Amino acid sequence: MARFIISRFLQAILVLFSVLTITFFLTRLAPGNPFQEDKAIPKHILAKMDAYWGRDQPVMVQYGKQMWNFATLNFGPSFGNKGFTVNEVISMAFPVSFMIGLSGLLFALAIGIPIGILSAVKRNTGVDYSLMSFALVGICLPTFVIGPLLSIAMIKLGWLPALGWETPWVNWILPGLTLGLFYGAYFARLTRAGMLETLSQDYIRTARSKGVSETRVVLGHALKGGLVPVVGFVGPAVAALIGGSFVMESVFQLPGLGTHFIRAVTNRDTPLLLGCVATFGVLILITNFLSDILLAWLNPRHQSASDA
Amino acid sequence: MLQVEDLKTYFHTRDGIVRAVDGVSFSLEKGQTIGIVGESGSGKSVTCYSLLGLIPMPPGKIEGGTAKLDGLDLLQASEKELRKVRGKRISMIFQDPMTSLNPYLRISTQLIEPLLIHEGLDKKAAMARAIESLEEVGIPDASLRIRSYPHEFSGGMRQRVMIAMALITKPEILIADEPTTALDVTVQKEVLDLIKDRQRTLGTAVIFITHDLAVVSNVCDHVHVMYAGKVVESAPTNRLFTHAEHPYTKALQRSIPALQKKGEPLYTIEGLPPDLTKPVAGCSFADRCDFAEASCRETAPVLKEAAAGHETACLRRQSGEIDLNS
Amino acid sequence: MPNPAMDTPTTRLEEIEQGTSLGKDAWLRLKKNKLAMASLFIFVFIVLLCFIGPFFGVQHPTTTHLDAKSQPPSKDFLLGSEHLGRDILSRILYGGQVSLIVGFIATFVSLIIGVSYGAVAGYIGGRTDVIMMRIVDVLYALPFMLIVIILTASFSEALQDIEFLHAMKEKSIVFEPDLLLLFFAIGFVEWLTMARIVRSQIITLKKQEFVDAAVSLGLSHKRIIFRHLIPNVFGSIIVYTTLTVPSVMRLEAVLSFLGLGVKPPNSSWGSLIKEGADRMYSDPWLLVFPALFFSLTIFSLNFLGDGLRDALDPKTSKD
Repeated sequence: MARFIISRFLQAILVLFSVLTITFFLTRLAPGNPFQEDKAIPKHILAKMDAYWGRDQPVMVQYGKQMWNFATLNFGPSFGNKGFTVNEVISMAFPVSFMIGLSGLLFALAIGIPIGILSAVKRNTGVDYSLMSFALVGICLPTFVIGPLLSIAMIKLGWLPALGWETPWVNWILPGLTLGLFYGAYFARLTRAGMLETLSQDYIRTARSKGVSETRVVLGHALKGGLVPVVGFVGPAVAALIGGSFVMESVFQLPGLGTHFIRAVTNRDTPLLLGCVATFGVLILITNFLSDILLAWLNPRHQSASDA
Repeated sequence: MLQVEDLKTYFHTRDGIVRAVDGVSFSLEKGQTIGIVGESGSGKSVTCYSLLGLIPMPPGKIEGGTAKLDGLDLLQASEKELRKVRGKRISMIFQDPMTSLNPYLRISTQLIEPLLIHEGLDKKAAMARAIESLEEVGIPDASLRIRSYPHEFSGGMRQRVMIAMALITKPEILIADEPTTALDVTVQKEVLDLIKDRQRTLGTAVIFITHDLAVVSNVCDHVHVMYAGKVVESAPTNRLFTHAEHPYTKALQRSIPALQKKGEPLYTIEGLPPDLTKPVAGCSFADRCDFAEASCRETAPVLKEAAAGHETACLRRQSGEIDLNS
Repeated sequence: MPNPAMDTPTTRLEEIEQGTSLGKDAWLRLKKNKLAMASLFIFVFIVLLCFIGPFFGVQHPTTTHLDAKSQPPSKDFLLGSEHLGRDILSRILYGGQVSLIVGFIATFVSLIIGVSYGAVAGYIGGRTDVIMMRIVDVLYALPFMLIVIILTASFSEALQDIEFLHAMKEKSIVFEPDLLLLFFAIGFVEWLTMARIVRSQIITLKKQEFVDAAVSLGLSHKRIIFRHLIPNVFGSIIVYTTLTVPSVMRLEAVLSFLGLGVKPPNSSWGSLIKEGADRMYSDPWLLVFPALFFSLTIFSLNFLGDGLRDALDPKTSKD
């Protein structure tokens, strides 16, 4: 297990390093200047600003500096948000994104797994067909359609604040639910497939032959195996949820990290851009890691009597 | 004790209706051991699964018949009534011990389950009984190994666990579905001996499902030979081996390699079992039978007594036209 | 083949190459699947509507009617008009062209990369295969959305400055810099799963005897891969392609929704949905109709993909 963790950790560092490198050179390859504005700024002033921020040094020196900044977790000042360091911007905006993403994931699991189980148990009946059609509708209705519709409904009904982040303890519900409905549909299909697979195994027949009740057959004997594909999808789902949270920020006008990220790309704000990429990258790697560990834990071959 | 009459189990598939079991009757007395023999697809397993309601429905459907267990018709019983029978009065062991134990659950969890469900024991008492039962099937260090997962056992050991699990509630009937097929030859005999031994101790009646006539000759009192969903011959074991009265049984016996003369080419039955989706007018073995003639393809044979306690469903044998044992 | 002894293997190879019976079989099965057929019909209908519809008296999507701003659906504007008085129906049809073109070309790019990569890895096998697949694993772990955003946002201006494209985009919208960027950015990230699928299929196929037959006939590796192996994995490729198109279209829509993909004066369903979402409180039809077209397309492609999977591989059908 220790070897597994260490190799995973080294791999994660490698991936993170490559992502940051790719990002850095992509932004340097792209034309444009962070200090360009709509009205033309004289060349010599631009040059001075470049020099002030160290943008006139050789690219490799800048690259080294950025990587060092990353290693010391100090990303320096943001080009675009005058007077703020990248660390400050991230610490303000990331909690919002995190709340949305986490609530989205939890909603998705809470919606998807029960639906998938029910659908598998009632396979090829009306219940199954209607639940799975519902899930397919969920998959085909993108978040940027569900989101506005939910928010317009809330404006009409007035149950929940429809937009903004003035009251964070309720503001997360709508974006979280929107993401949850969408990814919940995926989880429902995965759970159904996983449960169907396990329910057709010989050991399920053994359990039935012992007089085990249907509820216990499903929840006690089949669920653990049936959830394997779901756990495997949690990692990729988190990566997708990050993209989804960008859309949610745009739909519900939330002050999250996605908005900063997109602005950083268009403004060539390299330090902030790298900071965002590093933050999201670490998040994805951590969840991939957790889901690997969970998978290993689910796999009985990694366990033995001595663990008891 | 168990009386099965005219059991019919059909599967409604995309390709048509598969008549997997088509009018099977047999009975089982207390402590008796019977064998149901046939090729794969002959309906022998489906017969037994039907008794316990373990047929996936749909596509499976029990179309007719009765199966009386001391007056309770298993085929008509509600799911709730059946659950009280399964694992308590009738237990099963399966062919492949690798896949028949849940890989995700500890042996202990799986072993005590019947006790918790049927005997209302608390966990502690159940664990004690479970350890005892593992010892009875010859698993060393039972109190330690009971905490293992199935993958930590060998195939033979797993089948011992299955036997312990099936017999832990001292059921009246044990259905053993090809219990030795998936095991090494050396382990096969051990497992057979174990089943016989436990049966003697507990007085359990056993239904042996197998394609292996050698197994049958070892353990069974009475044998039913199945072909294409029907019983074609039924006889006491000894008599079946000395005086088979159906060409199919004869052919089966001839295809046991150990009984063939050395140096002769291995005997195999020509052709394939019939497609069960298509109703056959006459005898379903006719196409592969060395003795078949036109009349065999017209009238469907029924089981008729050929000698005391010995029934055959061969028309030509019934009419005395052929004698298979001369 | 002059040598008659070679006759048997070649006829077999030809049969496998064409795979007619399999295709016909699958088509028959697909025809029985009502949902999949309805989806096919809807999809073809939407495609025809978007590409041929504009020839039948629909206004140009950029024509403004300042006297008819923000009209709900009516006789003049079947699906309403927006705040500059532009006709929504025609914007949806022209936007649909963009969305569909992006969906198909980006999928095609990913298809080319994924199929060749997977086929080569699977065919060569051994160490090369291990390394190539390890690279895929690592790429899987990358946060793709971020890279696509960086690619599209960083290079959009650079492409705008290329003279050649300016001339070409007058001829065809395919050369619009924003779209070119989308084709490649999306194509480069969507090929991974295809590579995995093709590789695993090729590995199974490689063990079968017709490959030995082809090798013994002295065919080149290239010919074996592209003429004998890939045609045999067509089934999986078709199924997965059908499912990739909607996911590519969704990615395009997300990017355009965020203001990064298709930018004005061009529009796609994604950017129309964004415009609609901004004005949905006053003019809900601006959101509802583009969303309807988009969702219907995604819907039909997903159902069609599921149906194709069942038709081409009866083993993995739902029950």
